Amino acid sequence: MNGDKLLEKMHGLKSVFDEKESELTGLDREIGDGDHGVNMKRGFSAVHEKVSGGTAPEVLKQTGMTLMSSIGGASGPLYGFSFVKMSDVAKEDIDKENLMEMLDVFADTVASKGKVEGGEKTMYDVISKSAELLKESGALKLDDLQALAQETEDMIATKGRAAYFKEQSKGTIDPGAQSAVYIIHALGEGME
Amino acid sequence: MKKLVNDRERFLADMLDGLKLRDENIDIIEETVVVRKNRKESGVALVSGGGSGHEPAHAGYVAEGMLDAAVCGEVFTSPTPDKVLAAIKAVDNGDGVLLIIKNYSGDVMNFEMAQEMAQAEGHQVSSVIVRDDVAIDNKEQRRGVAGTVIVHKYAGYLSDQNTPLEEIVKKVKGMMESLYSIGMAIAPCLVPTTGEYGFDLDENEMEIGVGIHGEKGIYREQSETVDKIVGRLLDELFKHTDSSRLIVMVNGMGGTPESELSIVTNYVMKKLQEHDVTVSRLLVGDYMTALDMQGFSLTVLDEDQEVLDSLEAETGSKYFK
Repeated sequence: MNGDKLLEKMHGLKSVFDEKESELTGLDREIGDGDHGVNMKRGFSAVHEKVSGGTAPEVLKQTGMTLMSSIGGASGPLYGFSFVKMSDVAKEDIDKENLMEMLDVFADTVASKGKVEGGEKTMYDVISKSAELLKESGALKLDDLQALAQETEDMIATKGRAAYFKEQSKGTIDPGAQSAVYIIHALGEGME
Repeated sequence: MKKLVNDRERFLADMLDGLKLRDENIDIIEETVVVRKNRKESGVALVSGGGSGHEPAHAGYVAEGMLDAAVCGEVFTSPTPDKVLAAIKAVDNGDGVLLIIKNYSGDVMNFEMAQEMAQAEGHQVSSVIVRDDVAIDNKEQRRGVAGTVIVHKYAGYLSDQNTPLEEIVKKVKGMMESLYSIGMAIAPCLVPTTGEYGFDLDENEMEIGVGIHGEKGIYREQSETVDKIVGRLLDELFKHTDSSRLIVMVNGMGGTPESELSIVTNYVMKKLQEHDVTVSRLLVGDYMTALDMQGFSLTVLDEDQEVLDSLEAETGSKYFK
């Protein structure tokens, strides 16, 4: 995957989040404040508008900076900073090995910035298992990623706004885990 | 959805354009940062902010005696680090900058990231995180709610007394040790950017322990008469304070009529009298709202002469009464 291909994927996420806005809003309304859909949509609309291309690391970095200055909330710095960090390890032509490395950096960044670990019902539950998924199944299929997000449904949130609801946070997929599915699916598309 | 908006994606921009027409003492820089027209030439500069939807917080408190800048995010969404950084740079006069952050993971992350960036550029920046909402058991996770406005006023006063940055941090942290709030709602807010209500509530239900972002409360209960609701909230607060002299704030959530806020106040004062609590200063109004949510929050704070002085001190903000 070179810079052009990556750019196409990042631009493509605009229509994904346009389409998924109400789904994410619905999840966030249950256990948060209902703005995750509109925030992700705004973030990737800005990426579509502002990220103009370059090498793969450059596209990742521009994407990260754009997300950081457009999403806001907690997802802004988490996704934004993660893309900037991934640009440090990305090669100009990203292969499967390199993508695994990037996903590990993605997970580490979310863990350290968000002070989060596995099982806390957050985006980390999807991101942290995606490198392994790619290694084992050789691909990042939407269904497999969705299964990871699905696991957050029965978890009790201990981080983020959902944590205020404790036991009552059970029964809803974490909105951040759900948006992570779409981002990681886009990164892995066509890499099989 | 019926709302007085043009384009939901221009909610923030349109609101700020209007705000500038209503307040001749403010300027808007970098699209979403509200600053005083007459910048302070000396003294610690105060920067706060957060998601929009809490009006008059935070932009309404950008005035002499209170904030130097408010960074406005999208509705209920923390502003981004680049905007917070722009605010810090705009108001720092060399005496340092204090960030007043409400305890939400997004706000904390974005403001602290900006703090690090500003420090790397040589600015002296400290921060305090407000955690006054006792609806949350875990102390570290408590949200910052209406008590934040008292922090703005106290810190603004201290800055005007030429108190150095680290001393302000120390005093504000000390004051926050006894600052407790709890909120309730009888009707959710309609979030204009999504077109959805924050939560759904049956005719006879109320939410106890709501935050200020339209999120559900911690307890859903059968609605009661106001004296019982007030008693219920005060009982929660009395789990945390046993002081006999309190500063009290009755805060409207945005959609509560003034008449009902007066009724709430009446019962709050009666109940406090029954508990032999003397109220040394009473603040009533819409200070920190959640759009058009119907409900109120109560904030209590141990009496302290310096805090009382700060509440009496003049401010150019027409929203702090």
